[in-house]
Amino acid sequence: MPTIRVPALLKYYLNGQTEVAVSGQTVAEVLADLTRQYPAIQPHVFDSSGRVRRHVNLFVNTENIRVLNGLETDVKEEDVIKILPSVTGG
Amino acid sequence: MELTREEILRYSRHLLIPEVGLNGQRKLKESSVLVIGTGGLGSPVSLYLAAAGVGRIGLVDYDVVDSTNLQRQVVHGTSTVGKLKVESARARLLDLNPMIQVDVYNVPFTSANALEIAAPYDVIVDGTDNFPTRYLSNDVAVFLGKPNVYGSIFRFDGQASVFYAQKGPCYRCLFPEPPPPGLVPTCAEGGVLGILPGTIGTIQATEALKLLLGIGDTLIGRLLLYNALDMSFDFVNLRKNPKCRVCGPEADIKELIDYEEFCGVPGHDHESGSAGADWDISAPELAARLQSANPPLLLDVREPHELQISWLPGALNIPLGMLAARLSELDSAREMVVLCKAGTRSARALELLVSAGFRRVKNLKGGINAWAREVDQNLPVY
Repeated sequence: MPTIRVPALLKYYLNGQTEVAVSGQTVAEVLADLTRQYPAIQPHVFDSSGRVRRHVNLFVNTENIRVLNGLETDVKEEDVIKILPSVTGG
Repeated sequence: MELTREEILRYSRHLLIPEVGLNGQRKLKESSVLVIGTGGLGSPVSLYLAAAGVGRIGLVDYDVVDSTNLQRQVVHGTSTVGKLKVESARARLLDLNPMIQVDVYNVPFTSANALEIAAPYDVIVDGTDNFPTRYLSNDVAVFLGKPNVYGSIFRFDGQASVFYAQKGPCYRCLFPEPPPPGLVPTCAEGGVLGILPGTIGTIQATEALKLLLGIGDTLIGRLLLYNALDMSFDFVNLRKNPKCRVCGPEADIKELIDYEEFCGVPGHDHESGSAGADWDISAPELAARLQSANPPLLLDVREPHELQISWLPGALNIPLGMLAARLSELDSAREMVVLCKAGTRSARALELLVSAGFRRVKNLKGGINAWAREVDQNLPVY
């Protein structure tokens, strides 16, 4: 199954895990499965109209989905989907 | 610019590396770096660049050294608590290396002064702790055509990159907009491992040095994702965003803007602790209300581990991040006072409660830290 990886900032919404297995064949499908399994993460990735928040980047392995096929980017079994929100600590 | 005999001796270990050598060390002596922020990241960045012999280092910060800084801000010391950060850092850098020049700017870095401050420097290092100053640093670097060495930290996670619009993406290509106010906690709210800025800051210093020397492969076009708990270093590729509003072909932001307005938050990582005068209750007022016949319910929105530091008896604990999902546990008819460490998270909780129809809610101004200062001195402030 594909894996979703999140930074520590978001693991509290995934029962303390930074990696979870998800099902789906596109980025949109794996995100839908993620929020079905862990509803608490929904507002940290999507805005109230269901769009991915503008400060959140999604990568399939090393590539940003912006330069791939957006939320319709294909996801294979061994892929790692990284959710990367901006952080500002310094 | 020639090196003196003392400099040749001091930088001996650099001169032995073929990639640096005498020519590289001369380049460093002639070069300059502006470090924005003398906090967790700015400490190792400025210390190592000073030690390495960068001829001119600029420091921008308007804050004073506080004892809570010293867990990670190693350029300062116990003896400089209460002093200006830029002066504290300058003294330490010149002690480490009196052969360099340290310029200090004891002012907030704003749209009004940023271009003038940054113009004389070769490289900008972003060591700030807030979104408005990060966007400002980026835009200044883009407009002046300089590289911006980026680092950011939270708890155990760090990010680093080199944003250089002439050769690759800028910060806005990756993050076109800041998060909505309050969604991403700051280090003052969420904490940070003290060593983490040491790791990320030394990576920033390394990248700045490579840029000045023109050696190696820098982080232009790559974002480093470091996790201290897993001890993992991961990289993702960054590309120029054709829709970028500052460095794209159709850029519409041509000059510096109001970054606090753009981000909806102030340009510093300090907590005001207030939800607005109409919504606040002071610690002494709350103490009196708790003695009355109808005391309000206390709702503590901190993380459970913070309750081990200090807590108020009888308070219901629902962490802010879980509040939206657990509203059904609360009785909107009952008067309620919301609290956290310093009043920032509770102010956000209040917004959420009010938008969900709660009306009889107040924010403990200044949080449990205010209670510890003003009502119960047996409780620690943290």
